Amino acid sequence: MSRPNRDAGRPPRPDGGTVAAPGPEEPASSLRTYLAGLEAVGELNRIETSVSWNLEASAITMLANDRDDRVPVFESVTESEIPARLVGDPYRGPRNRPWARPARALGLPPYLDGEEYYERVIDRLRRPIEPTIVDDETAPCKAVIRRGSDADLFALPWPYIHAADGGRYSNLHTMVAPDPDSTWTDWSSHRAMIQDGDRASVLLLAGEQTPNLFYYRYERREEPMPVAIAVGVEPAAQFTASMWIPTGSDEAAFAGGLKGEPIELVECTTNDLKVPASAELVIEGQILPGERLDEGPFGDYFGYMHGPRRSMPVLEVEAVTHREQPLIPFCVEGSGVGYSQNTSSTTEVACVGPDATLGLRAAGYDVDRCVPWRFTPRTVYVVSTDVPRPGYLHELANFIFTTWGMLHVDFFVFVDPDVDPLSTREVLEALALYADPEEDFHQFGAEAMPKVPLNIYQTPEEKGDAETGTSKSKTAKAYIDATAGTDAAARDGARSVPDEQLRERAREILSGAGVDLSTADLAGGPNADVDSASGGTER
Amino acid sequence: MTDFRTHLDSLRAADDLVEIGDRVHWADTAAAVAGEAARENGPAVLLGNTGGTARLVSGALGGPDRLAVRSREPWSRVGAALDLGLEADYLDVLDALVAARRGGPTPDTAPASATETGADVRSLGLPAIDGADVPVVTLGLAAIPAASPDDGPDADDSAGPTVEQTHWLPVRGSIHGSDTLRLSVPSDPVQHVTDDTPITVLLGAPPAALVGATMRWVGDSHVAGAPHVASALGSISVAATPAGAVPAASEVVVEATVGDDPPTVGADQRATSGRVTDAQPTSESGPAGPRAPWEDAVATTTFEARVETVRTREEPLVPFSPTGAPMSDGRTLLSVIESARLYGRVNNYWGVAPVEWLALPAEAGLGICLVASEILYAGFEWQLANTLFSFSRLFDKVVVLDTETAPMDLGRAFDDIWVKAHPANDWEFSDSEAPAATATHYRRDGSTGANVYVNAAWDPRWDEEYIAPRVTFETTYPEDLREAVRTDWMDLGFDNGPEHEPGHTERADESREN
Repeated sequence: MSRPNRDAGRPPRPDGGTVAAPGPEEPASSLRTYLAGLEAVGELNRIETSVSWNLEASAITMLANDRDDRVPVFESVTESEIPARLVGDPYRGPRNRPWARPARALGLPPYLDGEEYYERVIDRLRRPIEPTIVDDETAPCKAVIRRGSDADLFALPWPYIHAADGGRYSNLHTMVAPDPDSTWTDWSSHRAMIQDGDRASVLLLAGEQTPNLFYYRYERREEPMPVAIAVGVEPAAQFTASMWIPTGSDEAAFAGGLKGEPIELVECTTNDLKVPASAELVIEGQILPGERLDEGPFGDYFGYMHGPRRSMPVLEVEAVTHREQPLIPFCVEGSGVGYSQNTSSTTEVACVGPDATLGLRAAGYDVDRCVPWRFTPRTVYVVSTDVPRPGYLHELANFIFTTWGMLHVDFFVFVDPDVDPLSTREVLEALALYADPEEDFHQFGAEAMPKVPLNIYQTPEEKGDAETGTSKSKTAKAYIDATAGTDAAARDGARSVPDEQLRERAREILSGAGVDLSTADLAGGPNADVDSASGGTER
Repeated sequence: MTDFRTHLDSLRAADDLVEIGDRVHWADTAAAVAGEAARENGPAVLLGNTGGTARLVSGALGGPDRLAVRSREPWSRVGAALDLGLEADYLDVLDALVAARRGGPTPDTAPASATETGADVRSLGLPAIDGADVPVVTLGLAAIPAASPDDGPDADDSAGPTVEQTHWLPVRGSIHGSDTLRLSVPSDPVQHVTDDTPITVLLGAPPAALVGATMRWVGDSHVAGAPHVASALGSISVAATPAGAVPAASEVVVEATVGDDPPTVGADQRATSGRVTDAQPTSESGPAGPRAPWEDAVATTTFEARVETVRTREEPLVPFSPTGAPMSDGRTLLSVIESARLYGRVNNYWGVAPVEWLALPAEAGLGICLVASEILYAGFEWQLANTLFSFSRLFDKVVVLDTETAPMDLGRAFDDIWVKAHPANDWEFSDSEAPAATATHYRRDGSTGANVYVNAAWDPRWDEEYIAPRVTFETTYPEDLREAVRTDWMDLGFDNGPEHEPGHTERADESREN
């Protein structure tokens, strides 16, 4: 479908600059309102000094991630033809409670504890809300429309993120792609390495929904796959792109459920895909069958540079639409491991975890929670659950490994429901003291299962450069039963947990003496004004 | 040598001690308060009003955990107690303990700081812990005469055994009635003990003495006597008691004699390396309350003792450990001591010192051993892991890391275990004949099973180009850019300094400045 070409340079929209923060418990309707909300509570740092997209913006962002400092917005980016701005890891949560900023973005109290936050998000995901369609005139992302030679990717300040990366990337966006045989449209997140003014190579790994559509439908039919890459969409839409929404389900409706309000969509300029109207910028184009360009190396989510370069499908750009002074968010991948957080690691714990928990419950597994391991974003998950019958954990692991956990997740650790899966210490202790190497470590096959090449334990030869993006060699999956099981009696004897009434009394005494006992001491939390003794204060 | 109250002064000065004047009764609330403070990575807690004559202190040698970037480290208070400072690096603490194994000079003698009170031991108000309905001793030090007749006291020596004639032991116990102690101590040094043997139980002893006693009897035999280990960590004075020379600065000195029933060798059948006993635990004679972590590392003997006298310093301070709570004093202390022991051994075994750091994190309940080492040759990972299994029975899981993982950077260590180790090839399980680990909660019947080590180090056979560089600020950006960003940080509008970075140490700051 062809749309009229509205030239760049028309008068700015009213929301071209800063906007008001959302009200208390009001979801952010755009990236801008989310950032304004952070700014209102002192968690944003607008940097007016000119900063280069060439490593400088990402270096500042990585140090902010490492120091758990405020989220940086780079208001002035050098060598950018279009006056766009960069935002470094906008959704990165504070280290002690990573879900706090996503909670704020969704209009939930940021001081909820982990369990409450998960249940609130799960409750919202259970109630999808259909999107509404808006026209071009009211869609912020259509403030400027660029087509043809005017749609030049190099006119935008895509960041060069790590010094050894293969190129500049867009890596925090929502890719919209349609099923050619139905009305279903998938939202997902696949990073794109900018190749030139109108081409990018896109990381498509077979086994995930959009890559499967491309490799096994469009490419087999030798047809291009129309796509839109929506950059800087409203938070609920961004979060939904990282979730595993069932095939055939309306992703925009799930985003609406997550937000608690309908998502506004607008039709693309050069195709009939619908994208979140709140986007800062939309790249419209198609992924070409039979064509490949280099992608990578790239500093990846597990904390290492992975290489070598591999061949990935090619996006050909047809149009770029954007707001005035668009904000381009990016993630310094690899910095969200260990103690530090970034957008990826935060999204895993704050969005993928609740979604996975809901998915397991929907499949008939009455799990308490499914949570990513604190120090590793995607490779290992912790599931707290009862074990109602023999073989239950095997069934559960098998279900996950063959569905959403197939490509990235290598391990599951199962713990009892009284172990908080968001408490690394409790999980670690369960793993160390209740998982018997003799009988509680279970490997699924020996090098029989698929794996994405985004790993460092396979050699480059083992990874290969397969056409569909998965490693040439297979790997294994494993689960660890760290539940007490028949060791329950020993657990009761080993854990010193006084009764709740006594604990509460003890906490009152400590709190009265000035000891910081609360994880709810963020701005606005119930104990925000309590003076604290030092002890092992978390930094 | 830092005595216990001086140690508390240093914690107080560093805002790492909270004093609670409200009534917190020893019978129930004291342990609950200590447990919550440990669970929440809080400061040390001084309870001034417990219904007894002693002031109770928890956390003086405990946590916080290393699962977040914090203002203190798990070993900070142990480091402070050993005169190494609250800011001591992990390896400085380990190196100090390794060096102390050789022992220091014979301690001087001095008058005991404690004076006789006439009160009974129960009136101290020691805390009841974890369901015990009687007061318990958790961080105690015991002194008994050494066994050898040659080393025994002279018949006319009213001063009692000298330092060389005295054993210092870690002791756990409970108080029954007004004058009965039920005690658990390491078996080896009390095999000669009979009824009426004098024993002195010390509470609030200088921390180095407690460390020395634990180092002497837990693990290796090639360690100097506990008083000499303590004196290697700083000067120490001893005072005479009928059971032998004891640290003069101890807060509470309980003189007792072993009761009529013979000592019972027992405890968990799995305990200790090479010294497993056949005897069954006897709860009747054993102390009430939960076992101390060190009891998982050594064969123990239990017996009763009759209290003869109780001497205390003015307003005595008695440390205790909320055993069972995460990051409790006892677990943290054993974590540091056992880590140092193993670190010293593996670096003195093959003629070279390949191990950069080693830790049994208290956070993992001492059930996992992390070791960061140069991989000397293909298969060295296996050799290293299985050497550790042979040196300690506490754990049955070893994680081998590369030296690029900073000491005790648990965040990266517990990332590498999942992402660097191949799930099919790098999780190596032994056969099913390995003895059960003593810190764990399974196979408590002593049955055998597998142990496992995870090889999260690069394969030395790999070509250099296979090795994936880490994504860190230091490795990802050019030096001039890093320097500019660090220099301009506050001008850019940020708030948090380098102390907020994972792995930040004062030493790293100095290195960067130089």
